[in-house]
Amino acid sequence: MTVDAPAIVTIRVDACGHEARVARTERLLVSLRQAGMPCVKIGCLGGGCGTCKVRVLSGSYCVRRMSRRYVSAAEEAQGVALACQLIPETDLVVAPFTSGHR
Amino acid sequence: MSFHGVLRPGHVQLRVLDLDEATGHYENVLGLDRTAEDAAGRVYFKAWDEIDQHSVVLRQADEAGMDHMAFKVSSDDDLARFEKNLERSGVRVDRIEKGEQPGTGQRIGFTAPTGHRFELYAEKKKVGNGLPETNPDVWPDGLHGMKATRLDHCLLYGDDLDGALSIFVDALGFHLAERVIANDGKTLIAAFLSCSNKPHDIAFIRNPEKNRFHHASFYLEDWSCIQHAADLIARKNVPLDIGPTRHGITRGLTIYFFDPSGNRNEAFSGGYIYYPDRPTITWTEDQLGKAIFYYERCLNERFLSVTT
Repeated sequence: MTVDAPAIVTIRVDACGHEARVARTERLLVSLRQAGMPCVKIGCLGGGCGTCKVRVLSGSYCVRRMSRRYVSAAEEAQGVALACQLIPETDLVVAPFTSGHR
Repeated sequence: MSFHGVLRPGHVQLRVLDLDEATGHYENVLGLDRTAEDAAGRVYFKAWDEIDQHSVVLRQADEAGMDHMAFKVSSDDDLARFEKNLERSGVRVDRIEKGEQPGTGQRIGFTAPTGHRFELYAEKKKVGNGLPETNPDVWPDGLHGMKATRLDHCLLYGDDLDGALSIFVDALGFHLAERVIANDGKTLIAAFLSCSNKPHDIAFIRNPEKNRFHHASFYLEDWSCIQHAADLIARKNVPLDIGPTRHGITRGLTIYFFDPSGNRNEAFSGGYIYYPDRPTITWTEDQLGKAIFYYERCLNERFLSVTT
């Protein structure tokens, strides 16, 4: 018998301190919207426009294809992602992206 | 009435992040038919009532957006004439050889002052609309998705709106059907240009950054088709931008949504018949909400700011 990883994860948005328990298989931006958390702006929902760019401060996740115009390979390796293309694997702490954010 | 010169939007070539996902969207949501592909991996589509082989070209790339928009002109002579007109306007024109897109003749191309690439061509393979030319029925078998009838227009964001307007009007013979003027009484915020009987074939909105793509619009037959489009958007979980609603500008019926790479699409219907002797309609910035979304009478931030 195998034990599945938890189907629900906790997302905390660093900027506003909001926290939500969301489905692990859902794209982060969709979950944040369903949870009524407005701190990450909603754009095209397809990885094309860069509106929902975030930095992941902790936790693991996978991403679907994102426009390289908004997330370079170097940024992607450093935990920058578009929330509409990000699928959590564990609890996450994220912050809306600003270029000065470390 | 005689049509010559620039006839209509011929095709738009879009960049997509995942070609298979995008193909599924343009086929199953908009209801386009896949008609060709090429050695470079580009996939070609047409809407059912278009006669020419393709009006949408998808190219896989690492960012979304528009590669170019192309207009069909009525003859090779017109193509040569527009090449001269553009050069006389100070625009550098290049040539793309016949067959670079399958079934398509020689194209000429230029970059507009807003940073967008436009192309013109006179020839494209005719594949028909699935109906006979004698005693046709009103639609062919096999319509699917939103049953889009044609590529209608594109709306683009860029900086030098006055420069683009001048080229489209002076060099290519378009007419300014409607415009939006800023509160200062002089700055052009938006231009809706016609080369036909449609209230717009191309539109521009002023934006600090060059070469941004706002949407490609596809024509549906009537308001009930827009409602059906809304049903499909919900049923197929397509990201919705806004609508169904109506525009003050063009009087068109509309719903906006996104393809899987974030390029915005519009399903559009209605609008008035435009003739070149109609006066230009002017909207003022304080009425912009009603101009764009007639029922809501206000703009949403996403519609204004999200482009690819």
